[in-house]
Amino acid sequence: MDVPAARVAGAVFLLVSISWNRMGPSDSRYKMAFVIATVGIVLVLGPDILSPSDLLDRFSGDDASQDMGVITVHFAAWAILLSLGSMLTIRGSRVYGAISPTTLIFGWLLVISSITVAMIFRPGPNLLDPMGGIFSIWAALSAAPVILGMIAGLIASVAIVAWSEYSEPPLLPTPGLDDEERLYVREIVENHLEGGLD
Amino acid sequence: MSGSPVEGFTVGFAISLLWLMIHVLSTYRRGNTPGSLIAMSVIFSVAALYLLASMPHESISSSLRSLMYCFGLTPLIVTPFLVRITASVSNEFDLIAFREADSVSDSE
Repeated sequence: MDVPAARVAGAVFLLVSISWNRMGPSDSRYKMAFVIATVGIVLVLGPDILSPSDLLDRFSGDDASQDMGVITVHFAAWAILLSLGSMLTIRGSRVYGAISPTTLIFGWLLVISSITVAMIFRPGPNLLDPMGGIFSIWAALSAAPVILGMIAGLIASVAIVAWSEYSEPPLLPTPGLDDEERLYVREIVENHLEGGLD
Repeated sequence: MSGSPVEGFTVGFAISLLWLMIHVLSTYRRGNTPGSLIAMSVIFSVAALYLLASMPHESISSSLRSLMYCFGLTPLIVTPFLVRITASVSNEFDLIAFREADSVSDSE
């Protein structure tokens, strides 16, 4: 498998892992989501990460801004920092329990690192050029047609889903619970109420 | 940096439709996933792939590069939301808050 094909396959695996992760613990595919995501990351980043010396040369080369491998590694670096930082920041805040200053500080350090890597550290001859980071905003604006295309595709997707759901015959009403099922549900609810609210 | 706007639009459109097809096929459940949804998503994705195949390879890769540079703005966009979460004093899963909400709904 050549490098572009491996990257495309890795991206497909990552999208599949997101879908499987969203299916929830009741489906067996949910358990495989993390494995598939790992395989996807290895396929996307592996060809470039496995030759680190070559990668460093490419990062500071004149053609770095056109090198898909360099851009992918740069993208993955800030994305992973942002994901971990956001997770820690949310965990350390008051929203999900007691506030944890250490977790919050560490999370924010990762988020700030992500902003730095994304905005200031740019692949090219001047790796740490703040003006290069600001310039990248204008470079990023050239993606406006792609973003508009994605929005149009999203609208088309919603239309396809709505049409397919409306075109399906309505389902029959679900039969009520029998005595055994009713007792089972009652037992679960009672256990949760006794264990959590007392 | 990017190809023509039309080519960029086509790449973005194809990405969304391919994502839909991948999602529909990977989350297929017998009896739950409508057959018409599978058929439509596959037809549209094949059409999108056909359009992509007719485009120059360099246009597609330059559009993807532009998109990845554009995603570089994500940390800046996410930061205000994280600041709001950090400054928030409410606890969504606090048992006392649960009881208070419960007593308010009971009194109503």
